[in-house]
Amino acid sequence: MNRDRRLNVPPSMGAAMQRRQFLRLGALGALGVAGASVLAACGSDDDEESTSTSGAASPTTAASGSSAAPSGEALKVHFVYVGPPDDNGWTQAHDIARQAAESALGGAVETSFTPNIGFDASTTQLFEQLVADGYKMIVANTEYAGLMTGVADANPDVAFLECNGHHFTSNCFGYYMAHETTAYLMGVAAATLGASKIGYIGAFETATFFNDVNGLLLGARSVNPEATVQYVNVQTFFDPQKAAVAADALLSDGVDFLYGVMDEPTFLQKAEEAGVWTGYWNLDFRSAAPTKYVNNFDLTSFAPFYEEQFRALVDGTWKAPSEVVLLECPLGEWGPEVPQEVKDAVAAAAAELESGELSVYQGPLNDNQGNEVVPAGETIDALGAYSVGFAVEGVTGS
Amino acid sequence: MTPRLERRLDTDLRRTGVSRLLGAVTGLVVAALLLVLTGRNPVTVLTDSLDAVFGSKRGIEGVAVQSVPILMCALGVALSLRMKVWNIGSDGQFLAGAFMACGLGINVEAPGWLLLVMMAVGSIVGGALWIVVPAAGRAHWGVNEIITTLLLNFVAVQLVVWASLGFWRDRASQVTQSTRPVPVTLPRIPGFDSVSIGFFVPLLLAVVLWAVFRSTKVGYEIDTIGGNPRAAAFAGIDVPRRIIVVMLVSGAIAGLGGFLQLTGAPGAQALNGGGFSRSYGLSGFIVAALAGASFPGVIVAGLFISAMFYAGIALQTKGLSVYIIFGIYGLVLVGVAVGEVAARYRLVRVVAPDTSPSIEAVAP
Repeated sequence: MNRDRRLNVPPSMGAAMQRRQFLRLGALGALGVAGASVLAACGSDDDEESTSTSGAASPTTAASGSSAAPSGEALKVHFVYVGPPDDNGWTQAHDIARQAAESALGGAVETSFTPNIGFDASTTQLFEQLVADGYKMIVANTEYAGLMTGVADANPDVAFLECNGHHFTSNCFGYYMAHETTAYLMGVAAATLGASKIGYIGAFETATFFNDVNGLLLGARSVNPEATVQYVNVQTFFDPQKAAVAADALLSDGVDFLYGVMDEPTFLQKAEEAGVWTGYWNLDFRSAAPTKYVNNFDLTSFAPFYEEQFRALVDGTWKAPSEVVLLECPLGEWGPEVPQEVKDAVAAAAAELESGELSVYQGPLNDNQGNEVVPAGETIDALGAYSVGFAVEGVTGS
Repeated sequence: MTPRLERRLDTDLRRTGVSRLLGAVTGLVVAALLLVLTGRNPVTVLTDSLDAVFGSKRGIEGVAVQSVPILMCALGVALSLRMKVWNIGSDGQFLAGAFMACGLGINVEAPGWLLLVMMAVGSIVGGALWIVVPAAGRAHWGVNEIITTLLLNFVAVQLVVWASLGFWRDRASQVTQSTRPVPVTLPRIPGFDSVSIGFFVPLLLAVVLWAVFRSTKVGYEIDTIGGNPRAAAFAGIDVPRRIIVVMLVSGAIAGLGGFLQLTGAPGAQALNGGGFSRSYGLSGFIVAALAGASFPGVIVAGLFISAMFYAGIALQTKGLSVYIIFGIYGLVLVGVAVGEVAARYRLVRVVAPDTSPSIEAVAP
């Protein structure tokens, strides 16, 4: 079940993208509607956003009934989330993994989380507070960089895990997904479904973005050499309106497959309405596009990864890897209308990638400026892909 | 014998103070009721908050660190409010100041102290530049500064995103959306772990501004413009010029706040595309409004709000939803605002009913 695949990358080779820039209500931005927020929060039962939910006891003040687990000896682990745990995307994937890993440890570890944490100086204060609260391991599901690493350096006895982070010390390291293969397989599926012009809704122009569109295009071109990828970057991972506008623009431009890195499924619904095949990143979201859903990136390997980290912490054997840990990221479940031949084509490509006969980045490759970036006969491995800084020929957009 | 509200003609500082305090307490009581409704113990929340702030040296320092950007923005806003100019753009000016300071800090080779001075001056220029267009528009063509300053906030955010993901991104350490950290920081106050000497800047500035408005001609002129610009112009004050100067200084103060944050706040030594400012401009605006544009009042209200924010961090890690925390802030602030208004009125009983003839009775 453990699908981790460890690849060693020197820290200097990392490059990445901020996974999510959650549109944050600045502290006072919300004040205008503060009264309403309180009332709204009171109206729902799930206002206790920052408590553990899977059996072990909640953190100190939680008045909510906590069940099971002798919290006395449990090691305390805290997750810092960039978004809400029910965002239908990235943070939710982490939260599912957190709960699964905690359950697997059977009470030896007690987890809790703080959602919606942004990128200003108070984030540093939050990490300091967590250290003072006695957490032994702190997991951030995005790269807070200097806002977190200073606190990590000052507290060498606390373990710090930073998703997509680039700070490697004795108590801090970064981890991420090797997702260029997943994007490649999504591209194979798209082209096998007949797509030649793939639409992509991205957030920021970063290594992860390049890795995504490159995989998508190279996978599609392995089936249809004329395939192209057209992208729109909307500078956010969570903004249904912007995503809808981008989806409309791409669809009216005639894309025949719509995919993206958004944390909410608006563009899936747009694709469904337009009758265009579509795929998603973080979670299984077949419900958003019942007939046109193809597949999603399966992020469930976070769960065994966290479990392993917790276990090492409990055993006292925890050590920070000196290089980025890249987790395997397969495709998830197929949509109900996807023909068998598509599944077969993807399975064949997946087997070739797995065996090593096939590489996502296989030279000769030009970037979309016309420069040769991978000479003939050479490839880029997962480590190089994690820090890739170009879009391949055939990718256009803004 | 119907009770009626009547506006008081005088203002009494003590009455206003008591009224505001009562408002804040009322807000807290309402917040406590809501906490009870959500199954929380409000006493625990309150003691946790007080413990977070006053329970340790780290808490006190945390409030001080939080307060610097808020106070700087608030002082800038308060200054322009004295002449009834609404600078909603101090967040943008703050970011523009930080942008300039960061650009100098990571691109210029100079001895540490000289670099700090250059960055400080750069941030002042940046903050002032960010308000040049709104200032000129307001002073000479009557363009509504609320709109122009507000909209420039969004431009500043995009500028910071562009810098931190693009031309100043720290490619060497491969971070995602952050510039290289600036190589120089302000020294810490002796005996403190996280508070830099930048903390004294807003305090000194408040004193200076207070003195200017208390005993100089310029301050008096600005207050006069705030009272009635036509009368001020009639009295021979060059109103457009004063508006421009005051708005530029207002922006410069917020811009300097950006420098203080970049070089003073722990962890904040790089511009981050995810949000270098925690809406400090908005916080500052509320502080300035709560303080009624009084500079000592800004310090009091700013430290109060910073303490609430800092307590909020601790509460968040203890499982209280950030939305409930926002709600509590909101209720307290609304309470204070209502208290301030209430202090201006008094309840009177109207002894005799109104017996004047109605319009119908008089009309032919």
